[in-house]
Amino acid sequence: MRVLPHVLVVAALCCGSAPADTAAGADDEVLSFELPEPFYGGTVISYWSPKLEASVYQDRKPYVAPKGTRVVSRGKPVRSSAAPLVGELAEIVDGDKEFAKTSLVELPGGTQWVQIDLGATHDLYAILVWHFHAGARVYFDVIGQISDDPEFKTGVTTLFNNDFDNSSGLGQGEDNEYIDNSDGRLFDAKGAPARYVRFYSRGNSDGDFNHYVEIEVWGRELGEE
Amino acid sequence: MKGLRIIEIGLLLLVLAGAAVLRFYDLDYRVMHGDEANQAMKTGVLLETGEYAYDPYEHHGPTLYYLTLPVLWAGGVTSKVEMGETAIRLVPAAFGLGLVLLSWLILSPIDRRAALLGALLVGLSHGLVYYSRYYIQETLFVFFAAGLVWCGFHYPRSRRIGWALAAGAFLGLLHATKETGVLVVVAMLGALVASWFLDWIAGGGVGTARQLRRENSGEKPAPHSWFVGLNFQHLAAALGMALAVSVLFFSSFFTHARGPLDSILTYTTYLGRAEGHGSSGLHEHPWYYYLWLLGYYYREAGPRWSEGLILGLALVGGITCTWRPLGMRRAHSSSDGDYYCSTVYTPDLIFLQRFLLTYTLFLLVGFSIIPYKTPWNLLIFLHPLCLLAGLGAWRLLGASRAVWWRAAVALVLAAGCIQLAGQTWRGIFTYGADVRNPYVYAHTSSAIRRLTDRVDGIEAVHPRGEQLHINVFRPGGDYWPLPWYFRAYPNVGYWPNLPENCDADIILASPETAPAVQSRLKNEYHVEMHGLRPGVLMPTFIRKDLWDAFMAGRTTD
Repeated sequence: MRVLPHVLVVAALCCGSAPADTAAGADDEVLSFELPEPFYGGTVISYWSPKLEASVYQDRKPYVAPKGTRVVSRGKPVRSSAAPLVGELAEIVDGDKEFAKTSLVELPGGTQWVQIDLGATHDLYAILVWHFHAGARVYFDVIGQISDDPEFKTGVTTLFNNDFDNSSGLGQGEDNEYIDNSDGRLFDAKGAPARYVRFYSRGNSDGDFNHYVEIEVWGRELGEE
Repeated sequence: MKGLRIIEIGLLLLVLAGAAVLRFYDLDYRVMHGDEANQAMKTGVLLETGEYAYDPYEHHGPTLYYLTLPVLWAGGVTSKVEMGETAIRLVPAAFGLGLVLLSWLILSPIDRRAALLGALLVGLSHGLVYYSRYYIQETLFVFFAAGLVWCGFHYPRSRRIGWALAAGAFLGLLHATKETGVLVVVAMLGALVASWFLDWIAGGGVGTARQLRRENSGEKPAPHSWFVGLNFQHLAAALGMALAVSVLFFSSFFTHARGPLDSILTYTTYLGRAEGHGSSGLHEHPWYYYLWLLGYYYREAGPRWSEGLILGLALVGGITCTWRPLGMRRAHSSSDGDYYCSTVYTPDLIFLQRFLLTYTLFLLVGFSIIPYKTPWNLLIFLHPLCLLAGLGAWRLLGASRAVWWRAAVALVLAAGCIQLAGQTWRGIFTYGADVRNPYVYAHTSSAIRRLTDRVDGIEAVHPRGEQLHINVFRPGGDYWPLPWYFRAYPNVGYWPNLPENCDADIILASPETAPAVQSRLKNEYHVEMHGLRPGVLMPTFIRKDLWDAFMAGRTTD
């Protein structure tokens, strides 16, 4: 667990030197994410694309959300478009984010999704996704959506879409591809209300399969002070 | 007795049917390995031009190419473009199925029920099935070696020249398939001597020989020797047949005179490779590599793989055929309870079992010592391991007459066979091209289909269709199996060095050359990434106007 950066961030905020986009009001706080140990090994990925987001070798900017924002996905029901080949869907929301073999859930090839039912509508803030971090990989057609409709037919908000060629058929995305790492990828729901969170992917730079180590949804129940 | 025979034949047909499903079903499911693509393109050239010249440095012998031709002709295929993965993979699949039948034929003189079990294990073995669906020489090679064992066993029993000639034909085919055939023959000769030596020491079985002396004639059974009574005219005929078959193939049916000579000179190349010289250093593995693949293989998150059932049963079969082989003693109880056995003693069958044991050990040890290792090389001893395992399974079942014992062993064997079948199914489909499969080796990523779909999509919007121009800049020739997948496109250039003008409709580069390629491009391109193998990526440039036309045709749901 890496606590120090967050302590420094809180200290910075207290000193009034936080960047503008992380400015916290009296009712806000910086979310403290528990991050897994990074994996030091594997081969360097030789992914060469103008659509690839440049790697950032700094800690993520602190994420500020209203007080009381917490992990609301832990232990919640998970569905998927296909039965996992490795692991169980419940492992996606069990809090185990380690790169160990036992943490990984594998879905078959092609466009596949996993969906978390938060049980009730929540104001959603940070959603962190770890596809795989025991090595460098780019996952294709990563699409993150939230909705109150379990079938995702109505009231769908798309948080992220890097399906640049619309090969998954959900619309052409403008977001960049990225390399997964132990920090997880943060998708900002910006307080949008939703009960269901769904993530798509379509294989990765190493092969056809789709993977998840963990999805962590941070939010508050609707109207919660 | 007749009813029993019908049941046995029925069970054999069932085993063959199951083996056929595993070998023939959905043959084009897995993407082509680079080696398969390479072999397929050579077959394509032979098909289109009738020309083939043995290459003493690469690609192995010519049997695979020539034996594919009848399949292609039967399907009305006349060009590379018309060749499909299913059509060419039918050839190793057919030999893989033939190997199941051949296994039964080899073992059935010893015991027909053990033969059924042996055939079943050959039919289910992940390794044997996986490479039966793989367009390389290996399955044919194992089939010809098994054929040589079969004929070589039957010849001294009958002393008929037909068996000798058939053995010679298999020997010639073995040589014309893969250079390592010589190692197999050395292992066979070594096993003949070692089996004779085992017979000489054990007298046909330590325990039983003592029992024989005590209870019956008191004579120690004479050791069987394959060499005794060998007809040298028949031997010469067999060698002549082997030579004729080998020359026939290596000379490309008498159109390439240097081929037979090269088939001998090639051993200088392969000796260096076996010692780990040249690029083969990439294929150097520790001595236990094959046992690791067969015994327990687990890499990253995913399934665990083991053909431990075959290894374990082979161990039982190996031990029992050393100590007390099948056919050693079929004791019949007489009315007063005494045993006799002199009339059913079968030294040739005992010899065959010991031959299988020593032959397997020679191959296993020999191939394990050689630093150069690839997973498909284990097939040559995995097959006799399955035969020994069949014998071992039958010995376990017969170890006690107690019903509970037989039921328990049958249950364990059934559970083991279900595990083997499930593992094989996963290995040929779900994980057919995944590095976590022990038999997946430097394999093309299944993501290659993203690329081929993309090229097909661009071709569909290109004004000149399949005449579109593709440039491939992959240093060191690391672009296989692309020639196979791009065989329908006549304007594909594979460049060893970057030309001044790199422009084309589609450009495939390596990550190292991509920046240099980009700096030389005059047109505007869309850039994306595609995968060749896990960790081996191809920056792909698609001419912008073609990309826009392609994307315009994509609808949003």
